[in-house]
Amino acid sequence: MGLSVPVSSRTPPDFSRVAAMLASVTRSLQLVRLGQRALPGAAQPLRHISKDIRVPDPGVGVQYRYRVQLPEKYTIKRLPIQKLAGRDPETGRVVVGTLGGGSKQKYRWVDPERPPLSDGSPRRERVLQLVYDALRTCTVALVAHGEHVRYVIAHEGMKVGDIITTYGDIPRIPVRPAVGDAHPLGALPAGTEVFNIQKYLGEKDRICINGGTYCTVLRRVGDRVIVISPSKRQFSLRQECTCVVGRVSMRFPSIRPIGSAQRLRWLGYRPRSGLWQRKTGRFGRKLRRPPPVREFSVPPAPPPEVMTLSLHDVHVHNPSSQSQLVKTFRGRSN
Amino acid sequence: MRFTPVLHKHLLGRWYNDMWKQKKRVTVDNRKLKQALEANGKTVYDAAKLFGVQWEDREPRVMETAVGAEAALVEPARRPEHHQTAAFVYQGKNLLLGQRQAQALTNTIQVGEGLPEQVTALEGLERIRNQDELVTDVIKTSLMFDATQEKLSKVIDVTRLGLPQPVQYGVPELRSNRSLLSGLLSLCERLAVRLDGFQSRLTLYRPLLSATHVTSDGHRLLVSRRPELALMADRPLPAPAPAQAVEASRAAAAPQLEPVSPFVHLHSVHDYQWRDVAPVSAGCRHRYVHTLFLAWNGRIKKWVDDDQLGALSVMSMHAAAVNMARQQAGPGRPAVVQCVATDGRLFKRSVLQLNTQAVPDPTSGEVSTRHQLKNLLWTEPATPLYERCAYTDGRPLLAGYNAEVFNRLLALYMNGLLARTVPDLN
Repeated sequence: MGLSVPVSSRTPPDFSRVAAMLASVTRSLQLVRLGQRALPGAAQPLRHISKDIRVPDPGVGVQYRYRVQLPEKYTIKRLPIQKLAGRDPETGRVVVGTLGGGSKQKYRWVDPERPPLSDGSPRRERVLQLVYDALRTCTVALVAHGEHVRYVIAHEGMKVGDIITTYGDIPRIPVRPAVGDAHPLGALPAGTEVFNIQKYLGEKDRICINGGTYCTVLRRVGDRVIVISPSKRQFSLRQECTCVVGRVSMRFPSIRPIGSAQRLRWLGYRPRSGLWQRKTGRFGRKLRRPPPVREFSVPPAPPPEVMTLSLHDVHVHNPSSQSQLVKTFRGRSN
Repeated sequence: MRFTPVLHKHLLGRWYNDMWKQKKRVTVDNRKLKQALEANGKTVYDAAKLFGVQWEDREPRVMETAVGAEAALVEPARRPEHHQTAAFVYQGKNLLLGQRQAQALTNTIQVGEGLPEQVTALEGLERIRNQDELVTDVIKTSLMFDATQEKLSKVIDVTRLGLPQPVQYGVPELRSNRSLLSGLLSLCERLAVRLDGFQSRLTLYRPLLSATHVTSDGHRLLVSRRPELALMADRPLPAPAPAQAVEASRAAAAPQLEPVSPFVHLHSVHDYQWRDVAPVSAGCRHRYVHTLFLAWNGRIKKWVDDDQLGALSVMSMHAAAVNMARQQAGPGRPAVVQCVATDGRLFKRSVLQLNTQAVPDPTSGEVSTRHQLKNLLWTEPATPLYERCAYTDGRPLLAGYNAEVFNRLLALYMNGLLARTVPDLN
């Protein structure tokens, strides 16, 4: 890592541009011992410390297959996608090595929300078409109300010409729900199979939108409703959150069975190594007690901003005065 | 020794850089700070907003605009065709709900199956000498014996998926459609010469048709379309339905699309030309639209089926009939227009009688025109003129020629030409 020089016998280098960082660097130097590295401060692991490449960990809710540019206004036009081939959208580093290639696919902007009309009355929409979506495991339906046409997730058994209704009120006695209708969770009786459940009021996050899945309403606790997901996890949601009654439709034709290695390539999967590796204790099915009920109330706060300070450059907010910029140091650059 | 950059790089520089890689990422978490301050009664302001500071980007982003997109960068108020009120514009694209939506938009009901008796009675009444020979000659000339050979638009042969698709050469569809239609019309004109009615007809190529409508709640609808061919006449067509049938149409209902509006998926734009355009001016002798010929490219437009052709016919006929009705001085007789939609092989005939110019509201749909007169539509399914007309094994082949189709076209042409179908203009 370099020569070990006792800190006390050295004076800090006389560089005016790093004067502001001096205190921090001196403190860190006091922690350095010969042959050891200081622990990295950031959450992401360093791939190789001298290269300073930080590989993002696979996260929940991050899409590594494709990225889509949504226009300002909602449209039912099929939108082109940009394939990421397993790369993290933020950093561009490969996270999943077995994604890539495959046939071209278009994105259909599915409207996750099922709101009633602006005056609170039920919204009735007619199903015009059932559409195949290569980027989802469910079937997508083209529905229309008035002049507005949009895509929604189709429920199992949906047919062209059906009318789906969205209600916004929570009556005192639970309703007898019809499959395909959308109600607030508080209006439904226990045992109802639902999908496309709104997580937070006013937000577009949804639970249970994958093909063939459904959640079940278990019970009501005050003004909250407990639902159980396909993974046997229980969630506590506000009773005003909307959901759709029924099960999510499966995509037809289904992907399974794959049939050949080439078909996996068409689906956008790259070959795996095929090397047999001895499995350790972390593999295999585990019989565990399900985790406690998870409560969804308000969306989580965004993570704090991480600033990346630069040793060699100074941000100047008035680019016209270039002379204020310090010349870059002719050494290893960040 | 002198402390040079090289010495620095050897000794302390590497340390600096490696330590910096760990230290440069600083988490800025002001959330708890803000909470703590506010709990103590302090008001926290955002510095940028308080002082009105505008952060400028280091490098100004240069937006690349596509050619022709400069017009979109002009302010809306300065664009020549910009209007404050948005209008729904139909220019010939597929309607989401097909013919039912076109009927709902134009307040039209379909009368039974097939064309009115007034037209079907003329089928086979008159024939041209060597009619079948001449018609097959026209087909072969326009589709095969044309020296203009270009590379045609690619059509994927599904039986050869994965294999190289053969490049297809032939007569461009636009050209072959036009030459076929004009050839068939010139044969019809032979009949007109014999019946002494040649001067009563005029053929126009790609005239502009535009009709404006305002609904009772103030919405605007603009139907603008260029048919491939328009056959004009110097006298109007007789109305197929008598006055009692027209009155009885009040009880009939235009197609109900509820909860969908008849204006669903129509483009609502602010840039449009709000004007009524008839193929010819009102003072012209041949000012009555007799038959519209709508052509489409059947080779690549696989999603245009019979239902969509019906929608296209209804909207085009309605625009032409509305223009005629607005041109004539008094209330007078109902305007009647005929239409043939074709891709060169399939021919679909329609007749429209315009009894009312009212269009429904987008919001209330059919309810807004429930007790009004309805426009009447007669139409039939598309019929093929031939099955196959192409070079096969190096030889020109026309297979499956259907002689009935030209008889039906002649019947449409003769409507209004024969003495007994000429309406009483007084």
